[in-house]
Amino acid sequence: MDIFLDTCIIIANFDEKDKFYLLAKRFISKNKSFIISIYQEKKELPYFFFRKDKILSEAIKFSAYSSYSIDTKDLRPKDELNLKKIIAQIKAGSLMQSELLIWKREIYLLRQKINYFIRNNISRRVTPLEKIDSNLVNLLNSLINNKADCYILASAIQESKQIKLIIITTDKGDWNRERIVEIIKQTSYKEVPEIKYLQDMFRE
Amino acid sequence: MKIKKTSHEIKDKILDELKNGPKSVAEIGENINSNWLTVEKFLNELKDDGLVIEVISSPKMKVYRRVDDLAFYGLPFSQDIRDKTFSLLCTIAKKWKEKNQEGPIPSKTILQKIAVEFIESSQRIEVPILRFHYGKTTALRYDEEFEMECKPFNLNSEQNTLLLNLIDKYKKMSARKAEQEQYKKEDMIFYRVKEKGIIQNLLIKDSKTLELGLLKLSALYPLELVDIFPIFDNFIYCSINALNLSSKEDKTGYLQKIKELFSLVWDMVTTAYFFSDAEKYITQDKKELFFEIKKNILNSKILNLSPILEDFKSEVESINTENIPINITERAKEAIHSILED
Repeated sequence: MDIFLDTCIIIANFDEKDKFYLLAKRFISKNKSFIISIYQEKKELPYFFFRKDKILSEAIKFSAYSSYSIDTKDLRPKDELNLKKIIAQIKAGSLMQSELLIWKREIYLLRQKINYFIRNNISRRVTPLEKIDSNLVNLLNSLINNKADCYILASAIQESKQIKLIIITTDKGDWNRERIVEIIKQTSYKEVPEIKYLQDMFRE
Repeated sequence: MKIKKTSHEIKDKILDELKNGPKSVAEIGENINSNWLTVEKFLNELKDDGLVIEVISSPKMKVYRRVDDLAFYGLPFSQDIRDKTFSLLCTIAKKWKEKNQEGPIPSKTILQKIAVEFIESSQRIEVPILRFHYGKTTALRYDEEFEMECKPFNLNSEQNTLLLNLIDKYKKMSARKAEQEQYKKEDMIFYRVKEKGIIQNLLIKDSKTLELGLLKLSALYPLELVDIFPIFDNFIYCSINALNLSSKEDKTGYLQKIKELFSLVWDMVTTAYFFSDAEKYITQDKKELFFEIKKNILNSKILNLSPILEDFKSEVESINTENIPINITERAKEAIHSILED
């Protein structure tokens, strides 16, 4: 059975301070080969890194120009909050530009690690962007706020019509199989793949 | 009786039409009362004579400009902008010669830097300033050949004094020093970082400081140039990884690659900057032409750069970092984790 990875697992695998870091590392080293959606590779991850880099770029600009007004366009609420915290530290003098530049570098290095991982550990990318069922996405969106998650789940559901797969995630809140099954009952997608949560997998 | 124009007369009329900037075949034909085919025939002859250049050649439009058009990229600036800009440049060149006892005119760079500082320091001088490869410049280049056609720029006594002082100031400078002088201004930080953070470190092959320069430049990237940001960002991404992940032996090779790529990237970014600044000075009737010229020029730079960058990216993404230790503080790890949380 093919393992479909949620993006949070990929990121947790490289973020030492993530609470699921060790579990993600263990899971990935045990299984080696995975599938993801094209949406994750071409849209979600690039946009993710764009936002994270923007947090630091805005902070660096603030530290460089005395009168700079930060631009929060494209940032999600949590990104904005993070940026504001960083700005507060800069104003308080407890965070220097040199440190911000190091953090910015680390984001670039992390991006390389993830791209390397995708090149070497992802055996297939599924569901071309133009083939993602927008009705299915909208239906999922009525349940799940995060639109990107809806695209990813839709990709997995559509792919599961062709092959048997199992989805691995840490998101117990949004990626709830029972509620998803209920909401797509009215569509032609009869099957929702099994969803397993990383944090429950090594309990036995 | 209708007197038929000679070919010489038609060519003169065409060249005259193009004196004020590029025009399409259709526009020229309408203005000189000649049909499209006739105009194109003579434009091709003028092209063979080396007097005009085809700026745009598409099914939609054919646009030509004079080879000696002083506007950078032959952009369709208004007559008013052309006249004022050239008049100012001429006046500066003339006053420079007078001050230096009829010596040579200043270098092109110095002339432009004086013009920019003069415009910025004076009030109500309506001559455009645009950002370009080596900093701010006016919309036109100066050519001594056209000096005779130039009207003196109207200066009040305060402006005259300012100009003479600027000439004194720049008299002692080389072109490079003049550029660096301009980069000291707060709104020129992007250029300053390029000079101090990138160019100087590429020359002395200091990869650590180069990395900081690249990161800073990336942070300062102008938001208005959103279309080409992915290319610029890819360059920074590849360079940072190449500098951090390569062995000592490979680093020299990568430094050379970064140097070559940087000049192409900088060229692309500053060209985009120039067009972004120029746009507000183009009249509505010339906007379509302006955007076509912009598209042509930027696309050719992007087409040139993209395959080289893709190769570099492929190379960088094939490096296995598993055994490369992460050398950052706990505070940095916490901060990065916080940033990554969605």
